[in-house]
Amino acid sequence: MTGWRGLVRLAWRRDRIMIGVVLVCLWLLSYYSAVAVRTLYSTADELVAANSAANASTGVVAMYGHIYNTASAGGVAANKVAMLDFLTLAFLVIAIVRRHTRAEEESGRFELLGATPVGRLAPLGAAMILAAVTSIVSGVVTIPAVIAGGWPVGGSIVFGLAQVGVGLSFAALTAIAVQLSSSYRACGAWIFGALGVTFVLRMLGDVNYDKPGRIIGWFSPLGWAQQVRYYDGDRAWPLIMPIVLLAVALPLAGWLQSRRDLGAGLLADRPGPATGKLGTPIGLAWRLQRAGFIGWLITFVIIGGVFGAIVDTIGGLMTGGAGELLQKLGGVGSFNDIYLTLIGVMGGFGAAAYGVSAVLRLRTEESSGHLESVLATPVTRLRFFASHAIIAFVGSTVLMASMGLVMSAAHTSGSSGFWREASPAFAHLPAIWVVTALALVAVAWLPSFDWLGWALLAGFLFLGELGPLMNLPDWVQKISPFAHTPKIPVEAMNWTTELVLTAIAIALVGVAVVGYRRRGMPVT
Amino acid sequence: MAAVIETQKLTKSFGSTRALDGLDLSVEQGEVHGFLGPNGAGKTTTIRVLLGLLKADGGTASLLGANAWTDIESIHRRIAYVPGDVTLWPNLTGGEVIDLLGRLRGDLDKDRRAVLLERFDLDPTKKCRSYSKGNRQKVALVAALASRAEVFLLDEPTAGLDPLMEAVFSDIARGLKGEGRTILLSSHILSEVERLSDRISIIRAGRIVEVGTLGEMRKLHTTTISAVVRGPVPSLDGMPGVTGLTRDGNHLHFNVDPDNLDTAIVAIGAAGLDSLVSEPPTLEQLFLSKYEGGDK
Repeated sequence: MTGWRGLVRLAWRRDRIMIGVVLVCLWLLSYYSAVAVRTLYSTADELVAANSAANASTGVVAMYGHIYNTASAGGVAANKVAMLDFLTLAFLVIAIVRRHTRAEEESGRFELLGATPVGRLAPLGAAMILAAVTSIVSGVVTIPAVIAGGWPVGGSIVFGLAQVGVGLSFAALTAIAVQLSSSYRACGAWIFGALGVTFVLRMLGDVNYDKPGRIIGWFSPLGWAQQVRYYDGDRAWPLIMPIVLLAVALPLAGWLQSRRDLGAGLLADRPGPATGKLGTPIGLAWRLQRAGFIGWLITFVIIGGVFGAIVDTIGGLMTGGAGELLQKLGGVGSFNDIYLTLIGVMGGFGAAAYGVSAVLRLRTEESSGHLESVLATPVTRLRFFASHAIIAFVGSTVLMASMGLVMSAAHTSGSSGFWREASPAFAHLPAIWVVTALALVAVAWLPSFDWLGWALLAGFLFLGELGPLMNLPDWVQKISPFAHTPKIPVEAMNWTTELVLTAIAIALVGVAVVGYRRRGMPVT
Repeated sequence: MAAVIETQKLTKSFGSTRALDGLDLSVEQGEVHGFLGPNGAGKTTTIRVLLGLLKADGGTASLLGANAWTDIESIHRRIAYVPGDVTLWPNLTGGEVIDLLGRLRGDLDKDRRAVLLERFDLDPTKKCRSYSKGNRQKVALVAALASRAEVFLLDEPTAGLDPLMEAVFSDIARGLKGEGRTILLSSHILSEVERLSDRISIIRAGRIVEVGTLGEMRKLHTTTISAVVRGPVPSLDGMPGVTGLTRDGNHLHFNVDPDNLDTAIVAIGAAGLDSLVSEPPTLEQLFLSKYEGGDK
């Protein structure tokens, strides 16, 4: 561990803006969620009604968790913001640990450090320290933020601590994941896969909150954080679990790190083919994006299958007046329809995220220098641009189609019709295309601000999730393309909106093409 | 001889930095043209403009008689390029990258590829992420040199190669020249440029400050004379064109410009010569003289 102090300073110097911005956003989000509950539900009865309604929807429980005491002051708002906070923090610590361990090794920058009197474990240790401090600061500052917003002190303290637990758990899991492969990307696939699995385990645990199956949730760091039951029982003892994980994972990661070569992974690189069949830009783009896409596809198929299979359990979960209430809140339509609509929207944001990430591959290729080699051949910019854009559009469309079809196919008995139940997934395609096209415009015109694609998507998600809760003006909420796509089957199909959004997406692609053909390259 | 690469008054700025400042470069058919300049002089920017990656702010750039910015497809079918900083797709093997670039160009020559792999002693089955810097350079070189391109744009082609491989490269480059191909060779390795180039352009702060064959350039620069004279040491003080004069007994050492070479030689010859060493300027001296003299 010799030299870890200098490495922590280096890591902080490189990440301070990313960490600062993410944490401030996270604290503001938490604070405003607490404020929103106070303004939205003025009486205890209203709060109980809203919490009961949330419990009645399997979709909401699956996404955000079950509320054990419907009088909980935080209730569904706390569950929502907690899940957003947990996932955001998890992504942040994963990024921190990956960046300062495997990414540095793969780029060869570790060699510079390795020649200085820096211990073998110092880089991993420094990354873990920064990740741990980030987790602790994130959770500890959240406590006064939500207390200021109006939530009870006891619940706020365990909520903050639960956040710390999630951060530490994912830092520990990432420390192991970065030992597995010599590729930064492959390590990312391992840890994001693990994050996905822990989310699904937690989801299954929550949906089965009153059955023995709830034990499944205890295999997930996200489940542990929820079992703290902030504002809903306030118990700190589940937080022993992240500490146990840390105690097991840290020595294991250290042991793996100290017995392997610099730059090597546990799973060694095998020799590949001496000749290649790739010969077109689209072939190359697909080869580069294939593995990522397959991962997304598997996730969407699983989500479709799981949610499709549990559609019918919703009716059974409706107790007392809750069903009636949900219908009032959700407007027209059966419970199943409301649920299907919700899954459609959720999947839509996921597929849009895929679209943005596929588009940003254009920038990775540019800043890494690969683009120069390709554009020095007769391949035109338009063909290169199109190769990744096609994967973004076709890929996100295929994701939604598979989710919808699998979901409908998995809902066998009591289905209101195969196509009717598959259609919610298709309804949001134009909004997904608009977001993807916006990301293309950013890449073409503002290459240094290519992250705008992500920022816009996060903004739309924020407007959709918290806009109504925060009573934002209607026109502000309508900025999001997802506010316009029809929420079928609850709402009727609206072909005009769909066509207008599709036309906007096409126009945006045109704007992007113009910008991409005229700007200088590479912008790094 | 027709110019296959031609730029006129090329300018390009990045923000307040003027990377190219009226650059006139002309490379003729069938020559190896050395392109010399220190870091940041504008070599890579010039090559990127020639490749149509950057759009010049002013002036014209043409390759093979076509516009470098608009006629990309037709030009790029006939050229090959080795970037100055070779980065490869980490999850593809070297062989896959060579074949990919060859196919994109449309002229993958399998036999030539095999010969080059053999000569550069490169294992094409390894993933690019595990190649060393030198081996990544070899992948880029094989990909470019295996083509039937007419023009080669090579940006520091031997960076990271060992002397053995540098020699292999020189040999192949000479072969290409023998076939009438044109090579623009941007390099820091002066001995390599000196060995291979027919003509040389020296770039400084975005302008070509000197162009010509090494012989022509030498004519414009001072010759270093070391002489041991027998008789009374002649006074060369104040003789036009003589600089850096040092005297140690009857040992003389000075630089003299080409116009006054004969006068100086006559002067010391009159004193009777024991020995005379005359050294033409090396490329390194030419290069340094262009950079140490301040603004020109």
